[in-house]
Amino acid sequence: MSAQRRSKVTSAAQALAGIENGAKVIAAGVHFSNTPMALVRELVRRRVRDLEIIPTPATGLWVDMLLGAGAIRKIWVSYIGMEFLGLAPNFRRAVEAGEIEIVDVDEPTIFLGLRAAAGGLPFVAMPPIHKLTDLPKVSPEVYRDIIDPFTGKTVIATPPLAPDWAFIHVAKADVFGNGVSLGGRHMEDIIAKASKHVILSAEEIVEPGAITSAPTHTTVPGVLVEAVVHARYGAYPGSCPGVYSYDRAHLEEYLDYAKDNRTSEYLDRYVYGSQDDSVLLAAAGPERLAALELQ
Amino acid sequence: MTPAYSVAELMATAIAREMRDDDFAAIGTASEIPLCAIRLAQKTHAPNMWFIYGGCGALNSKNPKLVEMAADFRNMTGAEYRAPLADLIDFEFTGRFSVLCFGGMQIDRYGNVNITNVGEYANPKVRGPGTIGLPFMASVKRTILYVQHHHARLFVPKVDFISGPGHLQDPELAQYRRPWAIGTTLVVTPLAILDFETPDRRMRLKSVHPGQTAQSVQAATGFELAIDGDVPATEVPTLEQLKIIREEIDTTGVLQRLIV
Repeated sequence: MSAQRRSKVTSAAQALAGIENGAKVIAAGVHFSNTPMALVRELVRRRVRDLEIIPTPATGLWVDMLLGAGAIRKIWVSYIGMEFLGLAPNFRRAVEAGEIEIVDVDEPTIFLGLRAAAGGLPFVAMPPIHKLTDLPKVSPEVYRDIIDPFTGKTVIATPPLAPDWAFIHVAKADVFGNGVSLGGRHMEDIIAKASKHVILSAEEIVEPGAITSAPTHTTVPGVLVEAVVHARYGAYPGSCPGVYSYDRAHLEEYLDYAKDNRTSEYLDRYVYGSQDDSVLLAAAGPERLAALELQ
Repeated sequence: MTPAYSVAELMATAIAREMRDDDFAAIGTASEIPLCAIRLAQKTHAPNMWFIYGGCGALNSKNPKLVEMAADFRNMTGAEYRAPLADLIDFEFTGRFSVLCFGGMQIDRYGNVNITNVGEYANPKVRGPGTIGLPFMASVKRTILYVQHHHARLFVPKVDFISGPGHLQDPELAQYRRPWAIGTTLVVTPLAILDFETPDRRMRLKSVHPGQTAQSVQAATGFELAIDGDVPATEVPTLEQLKIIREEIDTTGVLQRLIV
């Protein structure tokens, strides 16, 4: 009999137990697509403080919710918004009131910063297009002029971005942490390589044979993953590609609370009110959830 | 007979006319209008152009519905490839994308775009979402701007924050722009079409939509537009274009309701 491989499946609470105040956190996903909201809600329940958020280049809901929970000290900003639903209310309020530290950057700065951390590169050199924008004026620590040693021309250096904790949501995973996104790979592999601890949540835990029968479909390799959490509707109220669409009514409900500066009431009702997402999903109800499923 | 069309459909046909058969375009958030424009161009005069819908990464999406979320996986319908973010960034830095379509919170007379903050940076009146991909206006070939509103708080003399660079006034800065980058060629609004065909690359009123005049567009703009004589009327969508839009691209009529 061959030796047993270890299962990485655990509860969200157990998986996140090591996250401390001040940790650097990233959640994968684009806008409302494949954002690991079940893990974010568990992070809210842990009531950690002073987080440094390294978001993906286009996202919003999870950062806005953690701001509403008072969990954030600093955010790297490329795009924090609600896409087709407009501005992110807690983000807007916190920045306008000067309550949090922000570092204004952009899409390539975050992507290439993660890429540098993923590969252990000391920094990234970019063509100097940012010199035509106001970013170097407001974020001089991130945009440094250097001389390209090969051409003698001015280029811009930007530092690696290395999160302590990464959350990634997928449609399917095996117990060893091999994950499959049905929406294809966006940058989850790079996020996983850049981060010290990677927690994978999955709609469904599949048999290892489901992975090995189509290994080219794996979008996150288990070798990078520390823990696997089974989270049905783990991207809700956002969408999980190939599984279900977003719940527009619930997103609008969140926004109603957030715009009124009553996010704590939303969190009391849907997040703190239970040890998992059972209250939230019961409030949505089986019919509404079924209607979101891909036909 | 003039067919009944919506302003958003008119804007889409105006942007479609700018697309070329050899273009490779990229669009992102809130892109119903440019998406419709590109697909209309592919179905009419530019069958060989390519485009990536950022967010979901779809190359040549053929979704017959205009969905509200750029990252919506349903945009992969009929697509030919799923581009990861790395591809978009590579194509943006190297100018493989010949055209990008963007909007903004503020646009100024030289086509600088702000989506970062309105007011003083340290004490903003309105904090926007952030700079995202706008710096790439200096490294793709052409940029087309489109906005769903046209008023003097959006069209300002000088943006409060340069997220995306317009036509440069400081010759010292020209060395930092990629040599192939032409900059913003067109601005499409619910009132008019504007370009930068002036000696100093200031914004010029190219055409006014039906119901508008040069005076009414100027009154809605926070700086003096270049106006050459009689400004022509914007071409309106043809029956053929509307048929393609409504039967093949926007089958749920999003553009008929988008701007009211």
